[in-house]
This record gives sequence, structure tokens and C-alpha cells, in this order.
Amino acid sequence: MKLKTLIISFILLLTMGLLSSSAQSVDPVASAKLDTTLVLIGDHVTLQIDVELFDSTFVQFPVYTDTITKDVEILRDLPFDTIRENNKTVIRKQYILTSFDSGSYYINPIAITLRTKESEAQTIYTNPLFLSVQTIQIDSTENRIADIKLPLETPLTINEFISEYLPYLLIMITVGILAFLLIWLIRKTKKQPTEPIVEIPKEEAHVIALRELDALNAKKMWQEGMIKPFYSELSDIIRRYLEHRYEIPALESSTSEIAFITKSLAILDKEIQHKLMEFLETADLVKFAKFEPLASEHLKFMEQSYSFVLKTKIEIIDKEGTNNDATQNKEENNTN
Amino acid sequence: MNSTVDIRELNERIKLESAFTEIITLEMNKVIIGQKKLVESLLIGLLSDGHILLEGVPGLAKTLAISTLAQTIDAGFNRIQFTPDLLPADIVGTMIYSQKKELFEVKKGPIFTNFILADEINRAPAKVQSALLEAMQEKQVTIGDTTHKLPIPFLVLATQNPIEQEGTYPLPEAQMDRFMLKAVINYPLIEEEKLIMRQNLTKDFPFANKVVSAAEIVKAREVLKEVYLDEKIERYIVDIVFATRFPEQYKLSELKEMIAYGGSPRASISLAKAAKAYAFIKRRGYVIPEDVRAVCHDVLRHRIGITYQAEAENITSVDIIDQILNTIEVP
Repeated sequence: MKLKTLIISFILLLTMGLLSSSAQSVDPVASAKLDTTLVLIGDHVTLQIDVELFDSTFVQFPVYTDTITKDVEILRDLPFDTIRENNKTVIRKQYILTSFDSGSYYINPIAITLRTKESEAQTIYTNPLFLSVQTIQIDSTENRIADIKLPLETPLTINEFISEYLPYLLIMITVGILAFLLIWLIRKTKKQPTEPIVEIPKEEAHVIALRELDALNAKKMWQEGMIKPFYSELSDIIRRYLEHRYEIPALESSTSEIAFITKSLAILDKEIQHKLMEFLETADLVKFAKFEPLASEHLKFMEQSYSFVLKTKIEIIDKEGTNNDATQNKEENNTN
Repeated sequence: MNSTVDIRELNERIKLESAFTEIITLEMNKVIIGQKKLVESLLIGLLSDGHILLEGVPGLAKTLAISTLAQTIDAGFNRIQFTPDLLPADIVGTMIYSQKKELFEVKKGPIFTNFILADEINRAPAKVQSALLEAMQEKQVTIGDTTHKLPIPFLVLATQNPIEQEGTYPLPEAQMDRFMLKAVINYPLIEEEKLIMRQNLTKDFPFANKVVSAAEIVKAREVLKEVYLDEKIERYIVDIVFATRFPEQYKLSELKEMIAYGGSPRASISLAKAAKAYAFIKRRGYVIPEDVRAVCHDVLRHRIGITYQAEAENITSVDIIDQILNTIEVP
């Protein structure tokens, strides 16, 4: 009996010893699981990798960049977690995954490297995983294509208007004022026309000319030997008359320019044009070349000047068809 | 009246003496088609002893016009192409050591001639321009310690083009003033251009003959001095030049802001000289307002400085001259 008890005790001790020695030499185990294997496109899935260890072994998880397998992306890489249960240690690593393509994905066994204190490396693998990604089913019979909805219209309050539009309003007013000032400044300083401005007096041109001719006649200049001043004044009277009568810049033009203007505008008939040029050219000779015409020529040019003014003055035709010069017309108006 | 007789005599004399200008014009017209104004300007400069600056875009026969004028006159002619690396000594000359004589000898530069064509004057730096302009003003050149007189007549005809301003040295205002005339050449007319093209495609390009001697030019210059300039014309010239300085005194207040500086007394002198030369070319013994107006642009365009305001408004010195001529009463 004692022997029997001793033998049973030995067998139990051996079994326990074997069990305990087998427990001491248990291999590390790696497992992987997903919190769900069926997700909608874009949904998040948590991948959990557990490595069970029975001794102090270093665990090295694979390093992923952005995908764990084709089209399954890693959104977040969560930190390690170490859980100690009884005499084993569980190293847990979690990843948040997603996929933007529908389909079934096979995640290969994940290789985990273990390194003992003696620097012996060992690679263990997790179980493979399947992930199914589904798209959203659209019922085309119910969900028809619709136009974009317009924004809701709400009444605009004064405060909203001021806070929203006042700065723009102020900018517009400022820009408007600046534009107005700029246009005003440009107009004020804009390029002046190079064409001479002819000032037209209120009085009729021939009235002034005849009055000046009378005054010149009364001075009796050529009779007193003042030939050059006589021709200067006479030519000035005629030029001034041309300027007032035809609105041409005769005072600022030379003889040849006057000839060109009167010819190109065809404002004088041939004979009058010829006589005018004869006079102006002679006057130029007297004024600039010390030329002295004969006394008869002084008279001739004086008479020609009167004749020129009278022949070219403005004539006003009244209602009855009779011709009246402007002076007569003016006098009649005054009498009435 | 003696004075009347004098003018008539002078008129007759000038008609005789100025005949050669028509011959020069005819000879030049054989080579230069159109550009009547340019030919007139060249003759004015030649007769009134004034240097000329020609401005125009490339290809308008500026250089050809000047060389043709020189061809028609039996006188010396040199062309200097102004470049950025040109030195004053390249123009006026320098002292060179003679090993044989064991002393420094003067080597005269191309400036020692009657007609100088300073081609593209604004391509050379200021020191070279100064060397030339000093010679233009003084009519003499100093090399080493000796001053050498330049031959008579001595005329500088310079060219520049208004484009391609990069890498150029624009003439300063003071140096521009040394040029009596600044003539601007424009494009020829359609018919003229057809003739130019035809002429350049023929086998024998026309050649201007020598028709006048340097001595005749000098003599003509003496006669030119006798051309009568009446007091009224003098007043007209002075009024025009004064209007460039004090426009507000001539009812041209709007030009006050446009003009930076007006014409100098040299402008009045040049205007009078050029007007006389123009009257001479027109074979007259006296100056009339037309003569002044005809040369006014060439004499004054480079002597009126315009402000930034004028530049901003695209107003040129020519616009200012036009406005002055259109405002000042002709005597």
C-alpha cells in the first residue's frame, strides 16, 4: 500500500513536473483580429495584433507606412499596450484601418519578430484576415437626380446690411470720388489743341474793318512819309478782318499760309484772292525788304482794301428777299 | 531811296550767288529721293556755319544724305563711326614717338577735314562726344601743347536714331545746344519709296558730282551775312524764343508747366542765322516770317526741355513750338 501510494505520488509529481516544464517552454503566439469584417466604404476598422509571451522576449512589430495591404489604408497607428495575465504577457498593437474601394481584401499573416536575451531571433506569424468593404446601395428608382437646392432666403436686417455691405459701400464711394478727381485733373491739364483759337468779336467783322480803315485813312500816314507803318497797319486790318470774317488764324499766319488756307477753303473768288495776295506780298516787301511802292500804289491798295471788305462782308437776306448787310439789319433792329 | 536800291541790288546779287544751292539740290536729288526738307536743312547748316544733328530711325538715308552733300562739294570728308570703345584720340589725333627723329610727332585725327560725319554720335561715351563738341565750338583742337586750327569750312553732321536707346550715351542738353539744327527725318511717301527701291535695284547707283568748291561756300557765307533782317523779324524771333522761356507772357500759361527750360540766346542767334540761310536758298535778299517759321522747328526742337508732366501727357517740344507759332502774331 505504501509502495502503491509512493508510486502514485511519483507519477503525479512527474506529471506535474512534466506539465510545469512544458508550461515553461510554451512558444509565443501571435494573433490578429478585426473588430468587424464587413464595413461600408470609408468606415473605420480596428486591427488588433496580440502577441502572447511567457518570458521576457523583445517583440518587434512590422513597420507600415500607409497601407497594410493594397487599398486598405492605415489611418492611425495606436501605441502598444502590455497586458500581464497570470504568468504570460500579452503585447497588443492596434491600427485603425479604412478602405475607399469596395471589395474583399485578404490581409496576409503579419510577421512579428521576437528577440530573446541571447539575441536569438524568431519570427512568428498571425493568422490571415479577411475584410469585406461594401459600397452604399443607391436605389435609382427612388433617388432621382435633383437640382441643387437654392440657399434659403432670410430677411436682411439693417445691422446685417451695415456689417456686411458698409465697407464695400465706403470703398465704392472712395473709388468714385478718386475717379472723379482723376478725370477732372486730366481734363484740366489735358493736352491743349495746337490749333490757334480765333476770337470772334461781337461786332460784325466788316464793321470793325471799315472803321479801322477810316481811322487809318484819317491818319494820312503815307502822305507824311510813314510808308512802313502804313503798310503794317493796313495789312494788320486786312488780316484781322480775315480772322474775324472767316474764322481763320490770319494774324498768326504768314502770307503764304494765308494764301494756302484761303485757297484750300475756297472762300474767295479768284480775282479777290489774286488782289489780296498782291497786296499782302507788297506789304511784306515794304515791311521786311525796305521796299517803297509808288504813291499811286498806296492809294490803289487803300481802295482795294475797302473794296475787299465790302465785297466779302456777310450779307443777310431778309424775308422779302432783299439783301441787307448786317449793319443795316442791326440798325433796323435798334430802331424797332 | 538808297536803302531800297540796296535791297534790290542785294536781291539780284543773292539770286546770282545762291544759284549753286539749286545745283547742289539737283545733284543730291539724283541720289536722295524725297526728303526735300532734309536737303534744305543740310544746306541751311552748310551756309550758316552750323552743325547739324540728324535724327531718324535706321534706313532713312541719314548717312547717305550727308555723304552725298560732301560729294557735291570739292572739300575733305571723313566719316567716324561712333562706338562705345572709341577714344578722344581716335577723333582729334595724338602724339606718336618717332624713333627716327627721336621726338614726339603729332598724328592728326580724322577731325582735320571740312566735313565730318559723326555716325551714331550717341553710341560713344561722353568724353568722346566732348572732344568732338569742343572742336565744333572752338574750331580748333589741342594735341599735346599745340593748338591746331581746323580747316574752313568745318561742319559736323551727326546722326542718331531715336530707338535702340540701350547702351547709348544721350547727348547732354548743353552739348545738344551746340548743334544749330536738329533735323528729324521721316519715312518717304509711297511713290518715293517705289523710286528708292527701283534705284537700288539698278546696276549703276547714281553718283553726285562735285559742283561747288569749299571756297565758294565760304564766299556764300559772307554774302549770307548781308541778307536783310528787318527789326520786325528780329522782334518776331525774340518773341518766339522768349515764349519758350516765359510762355505766360504770351497768353500761353498752359505751357508753363510743360516747359522745363526754354531756348538760350544761342537759340535766337541760330534762328536768325537759319532764317537768313533759308531766305538765301529761296534766293531772296531779305527775311520774311515764312523763313523763320520754316526753320523754327529744326532750331528749337532740341533746345526746349520738357517736364515730366509734358512727357506724361505725350506733349513734345514740337507740339510746344507749334502752339507758340500759332499764338504769336506774325508781323
